[in-house]
Amino acid sequence: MNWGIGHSAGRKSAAKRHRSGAMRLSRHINICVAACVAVIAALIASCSSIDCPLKNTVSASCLFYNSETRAAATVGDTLTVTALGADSVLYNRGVNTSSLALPMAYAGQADTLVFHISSTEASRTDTLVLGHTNEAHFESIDCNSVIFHTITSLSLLRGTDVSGLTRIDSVALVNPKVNYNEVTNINIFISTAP
Amino acid sequence: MRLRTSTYLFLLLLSLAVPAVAAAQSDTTSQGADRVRGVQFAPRALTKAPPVPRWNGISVSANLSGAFLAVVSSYGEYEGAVRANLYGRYFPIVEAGIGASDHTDDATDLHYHTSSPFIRVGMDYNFLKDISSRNRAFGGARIAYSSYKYDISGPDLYDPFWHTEVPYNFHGLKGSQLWLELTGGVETQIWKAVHLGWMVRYKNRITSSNDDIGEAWYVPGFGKKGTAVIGATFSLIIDISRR
Repeated sequence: MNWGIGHSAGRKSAAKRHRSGAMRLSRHINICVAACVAVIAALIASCSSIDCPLKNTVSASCLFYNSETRAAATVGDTLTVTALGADSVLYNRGVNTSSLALPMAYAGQADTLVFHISSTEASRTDTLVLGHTNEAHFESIDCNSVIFHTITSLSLLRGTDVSGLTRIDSVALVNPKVNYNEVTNINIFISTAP
Repeated sequence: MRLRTSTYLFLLLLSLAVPAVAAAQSDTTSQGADRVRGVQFAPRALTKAPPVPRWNGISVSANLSGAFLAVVSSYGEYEGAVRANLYGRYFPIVEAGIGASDHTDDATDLHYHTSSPFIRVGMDYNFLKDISSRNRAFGGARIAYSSYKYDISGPDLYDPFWHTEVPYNFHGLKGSQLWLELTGGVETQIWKAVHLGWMVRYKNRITSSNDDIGEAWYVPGFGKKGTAVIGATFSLIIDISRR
């Protein structure tokens, strides 16, 4: 039953040809659209970005405090930090130092850090032994591989006092995790030797 | 006698003429449809579409874009799906495959490798008014899961202060992830049962667990690491529907 616009026999065949052509055209359009969409989908799916953290160095963050007032302090004398077993200087001849970022060894269970405090007339050394574990970290294949650390112990070997020269009185572990997070790991309490 | 003969002859012709007229009227009626001009309207009861059966067919599909990306890029999926057609409107679907990555970064020389399965279960809804059409516009959702192993390797790490080297090779690391996908896409008939369809997917991580070394760079079926990603799939579909 034909519920629509009637056609004569001749018009029927013409309409059939027209419909056939329209279907072919529609199919071609479908294929073209599908191909375009495939390319767009592939482009979307292949989009990539590099997501490395802006802070990509790992070091123990230390802050200096006055051992009496517990207020933030600076080392007025010249401070140099070296490590036993390493021929590099970790921190070189800083003056009025209020904080330190100390690298830690990738291997080994403890770092022995030597704090050289000097003035024009005298010098002294304090030694900080920092026990730690090492954990390899993977951020992304776009980012450099690194070693994170967990500080397990702190011990301070105080040097001989020199009158008028800054000395390290004590240390405190604040946050044992040494990684990309910008947090204070160690508080170092200082005073001036009488 | 002549009158009776004429009467019989008249009745005979009349008897022959009646079916002929009836046949002519019948032809006129049948051809009349072709001659009718204008729009005719059928009673509503006759034009009402027959009810769509609940079980309306099934389709299987392969993710072409995922396989293409697996070959030419740093990661991709070899994935297939089975989908049912209920009432022409609801399309419950199960998608499963293998997510693969075997890539070395040019800058860092870090190598990442995984080849693990994933599965997605969900449903699409056909928004098109004409459910008998072979073209469809979908919106839907999936719940997806992957339990995977991955390997990471790279050059030894050199300690610039203590001058030591630490190996950086980790194999058989384990992880798993559960995520939700919201999908939208279209599908069109190309030839008979052969359809092509594409789908955009918003993927949101629900839970994940990874090895202590760090998150997997690529999670099979999900994509590169992160809590939310947007992806797209382009699929070849063999649709075996009743209508």
